[in-house]
Amino acid sequence: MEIKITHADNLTIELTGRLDTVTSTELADAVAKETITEKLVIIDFKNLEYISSAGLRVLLALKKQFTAEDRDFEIHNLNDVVKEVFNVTGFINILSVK
Amino acid sequence: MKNTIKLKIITLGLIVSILAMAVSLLVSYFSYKNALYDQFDGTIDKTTEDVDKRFKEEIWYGSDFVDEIKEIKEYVANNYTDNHDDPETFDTYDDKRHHYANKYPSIYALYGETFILYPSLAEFLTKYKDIISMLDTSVKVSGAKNAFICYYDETTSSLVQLVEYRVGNIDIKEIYYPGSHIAVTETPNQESSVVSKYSVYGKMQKTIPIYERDKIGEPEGLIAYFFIEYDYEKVEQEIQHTILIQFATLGATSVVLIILYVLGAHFLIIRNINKLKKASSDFADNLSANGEEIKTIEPGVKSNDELRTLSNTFVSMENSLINYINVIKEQTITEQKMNAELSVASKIQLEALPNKEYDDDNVSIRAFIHPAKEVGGDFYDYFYIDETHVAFSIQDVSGKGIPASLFMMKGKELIKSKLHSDNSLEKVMYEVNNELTTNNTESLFITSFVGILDLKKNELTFVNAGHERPYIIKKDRIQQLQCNSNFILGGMEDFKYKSETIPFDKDTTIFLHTDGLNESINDDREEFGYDRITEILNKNTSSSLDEIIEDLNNSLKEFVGDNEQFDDLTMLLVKRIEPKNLDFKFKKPDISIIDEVNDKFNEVYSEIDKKVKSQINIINDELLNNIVSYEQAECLSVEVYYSLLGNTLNMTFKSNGEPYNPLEKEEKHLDKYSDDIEIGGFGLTIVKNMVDKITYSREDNKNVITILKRI
Repeated sequence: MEIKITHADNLTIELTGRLDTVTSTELADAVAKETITEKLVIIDFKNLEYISSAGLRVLLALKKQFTAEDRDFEIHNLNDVVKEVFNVTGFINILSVK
Repeated sequence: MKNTIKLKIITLGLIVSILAMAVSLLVSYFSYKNALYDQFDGTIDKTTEDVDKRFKEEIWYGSDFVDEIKEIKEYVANNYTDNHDDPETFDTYDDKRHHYANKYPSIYALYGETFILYPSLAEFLTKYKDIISMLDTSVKVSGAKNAFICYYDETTSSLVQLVEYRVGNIDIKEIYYPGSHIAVTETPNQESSVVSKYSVYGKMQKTIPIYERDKIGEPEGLIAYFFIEYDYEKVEQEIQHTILIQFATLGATSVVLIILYVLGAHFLIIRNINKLKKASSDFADNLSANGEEIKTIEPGVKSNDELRTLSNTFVSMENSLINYINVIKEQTITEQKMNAELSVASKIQLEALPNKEYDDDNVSIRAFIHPAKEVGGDFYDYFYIDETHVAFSIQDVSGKGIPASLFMMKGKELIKSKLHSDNSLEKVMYEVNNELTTNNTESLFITSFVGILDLKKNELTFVNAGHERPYIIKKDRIQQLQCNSNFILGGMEDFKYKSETIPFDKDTTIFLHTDGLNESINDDREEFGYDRITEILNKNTSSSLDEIIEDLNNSLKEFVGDNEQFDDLTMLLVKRIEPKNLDFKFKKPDISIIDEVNDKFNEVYSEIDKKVKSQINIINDELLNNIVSYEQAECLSVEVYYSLLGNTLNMTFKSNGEPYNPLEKEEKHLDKYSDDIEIGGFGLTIVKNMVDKITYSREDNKNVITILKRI
C-alpha cells in the first residue's frame, strides 16, 4: 500500500492499494509519525481497492485517538466494496464518511 | 371546358334542332315557294280569263279596236324593215337603244334585229286610242307590268310586235312601236285561249288570242295575240320576302324550343345527375375521413325514372360498402391483434430459451434456432442442476404453431423442474412422459434428447426419446452416437425409459439437431441427409463451436436454395472443457501468503469482475489471517482450493490447527460510536455477508471451511 500525506487546507492522507492485514500497520505507523495540528484530517480512499477487518481495526483505533484529542477525520471517495464492508460492520455509523 | 353531361345533352339537342330546322325550312321553302307560285299562277290565270272574257264581251264585234289592229298590222306588214344589214355594232343592248333613240328621236322600237318606224307618236296615239285604252285597262285590271300586241308572221316564224304599253310610265317613249320581231319557238295554239305561259324570255306572260267575231260573237279569224306580262322580279321579291318572314318565325320558334329543351333537360335529368354526383363525392369524403362512423348519403332524386332507380341502387351500394368496410375493419383489427399476440408469443418463447452462447470453466454451449412459423415446436435447453451437473436437452414437438409451442413449453418445464428435484434421469423421463400423455387430447408428442453432464466423473448420462441421434465430436474424429431409441414423450403411458452413460471428458463435444436439418429438401426434392452433416462435422473437428454452426448453416442455405424452410430448425452444441482450478499449500505460513494468494487468484481468474475479485481478496485476507494468526499447531499447514463451476466459485480452506469453528462467533455490527468499542471480530462478519454459502467441518484433523460464491 502507498500512503501519501499532504498538508494543504487540511491534512490529507491518500491511500492507494489494499488496506488489509499486511498493510494496516503501515497506516498506523504513518499517522503516528505525523505531527497533527489540524482539527480535521481527510483520509482519501479514491485509489483504495478494498479494506479488510485489519484496516477497520486501524481506523477504529485512530477514531478513538482522535476523539480523545478532540479532533476528527473524514473518509472520502469510498468504492462499492469498501461501502459494503462499512455497511455490514456498522462502521458507516461511527465514522464520518463523505 | 369540361365535357359534362349537361354540355353533351345540350349539344346533342342543338344539333338535332338545327338539323330539324334546316330540314323543315328546306321542305317548307320548296313547298311554300311552289304554293306561292301556284297561288300567283292562279291569280294570273284568273286575270287572263277576265281579260279574255272582256275581249269576248267587250272587245266587241265591229269595234274600232279590231279595225285599228288590222290597220297597224297592215302598216307594219308594209313597212317593217329588216335591219340586219345595219353596219353599227353595239357592246350592250342599252348602247343600241340609245343609239337608235338618238337616231330617231321621236319613236323607236327594238326587238331582235328588226324594227320599223312609225312617223309620228302623236298621230299614233290619236289614231289608235282604242288600242291604247285597251292596253291601259288590261294592265290596270290584271296588275301586270305591261301588255303588248303581236301577230304571227308565218313567213319569218316570228311574232311581230304591233304595240306595247307599260304600266306606271305614260311617257310615250316607253310605248313600243309596231314592227319589232319576237322569235317564238312554237306556233301559237289557236285553239286555246291561253297561248302559252312563260313562253317568251322565261317571263311571266299570258297570251290571249284576238279574234274577229261575227255578229253573235263567235270567232271568225285570228287577228293577233294579246300579251300580258307580269313583273317577275317583283313577284319573286314578294315571295322571297314572305319566305324570309316565315323563316324568321320558324327560327325564333326553334330558339325558344331549344331553350325550353335545355331547361327541361336540366330540371328533369341533369339536376338529378348532379345530385347523384354530389352524393357520391360526399360519400367518398365520408369514406376517407378517419375515425368517423360512415353514414349513408341519400342523393334525393325524386323523379320517377331510371335516375330514381340508379339513386336507389346507389344507396344500396353504399349500404353494401359500409357493411363490407365494417367487416374488413373488424377482420383487420382481429388480424392485427392476432399477429401482435403471435409475435408476443414468439418473443416469450424465445425468451424462455437460455442464451445462444454460454461459456464457463466447465462447458461451452452454442445454440441455433429458427422457427418456421411465428412460434415453433422446437426447443433447446440447458442448465446446471447443481455445481457438478449440467443438463441439456433438445426437443421437437409434432406439428408447428401455437399448439406445438404450448405442448413443448409444458414438456420443457416438466423436465427442468423434475431434474432439479430428482437425479435419476430414467425416473424423470418416466414421470414427464406420464404427465404429457395424460389429457393429451390433441395427440401431440415430443421427440427429445436429454443429457446430464457429470463434471466430476466426466460422464454423460442421456435418454434419447425418439430423437435424431446426436454426434460426438472429438479432436480427431466424429461419430454418430450409437444409442437406444426410447419411445417419444407423450405417446404411451408408463413407458420405461432407459438411460445410457458414456465417458465425456475434456474437449468432447455433442452436436444435437432437430429433423429440420437432415430433412430439409432442395429443388430436386432431395434431403440434406446425415452424410452431409457427417461431412461438414468431419471438416470441423478442430473448429470452434461458432464455426461449426456457421458452416452447417451456410451449407444448408446453399443446399435448399430458394426453397422455403418448411420445418423448424434447431441445433445445439455442448462442449466439455477443463475447469480452471487453483491450489495452494503452505507450511508454517506467515501473513505474507495473503498477498501471494490474492495476487495469484487475481491473475488466474482475471476475467472475474473487479468488485467480486476485491470481495474474494477480502475473504482470503480474513480467513488466512485467522488461520495464520490464531491457529496453533506443531507444524501449521494451510491448503487453499479454488474451482469455478459454472458461475459458482468453490473455495476451500484447510488448516491443521486445533479444532476451531469461526462461524460460531456472533456477527458484529456497530450502531454508534463509543470509547469502549472492542477492536476486532469484524472479519467473519464481513466474510459471511460476502458469500452465498459458508460451512465449517473437521475432516482428517483439519479445520475445513468451504465457501460457495456466485460470481
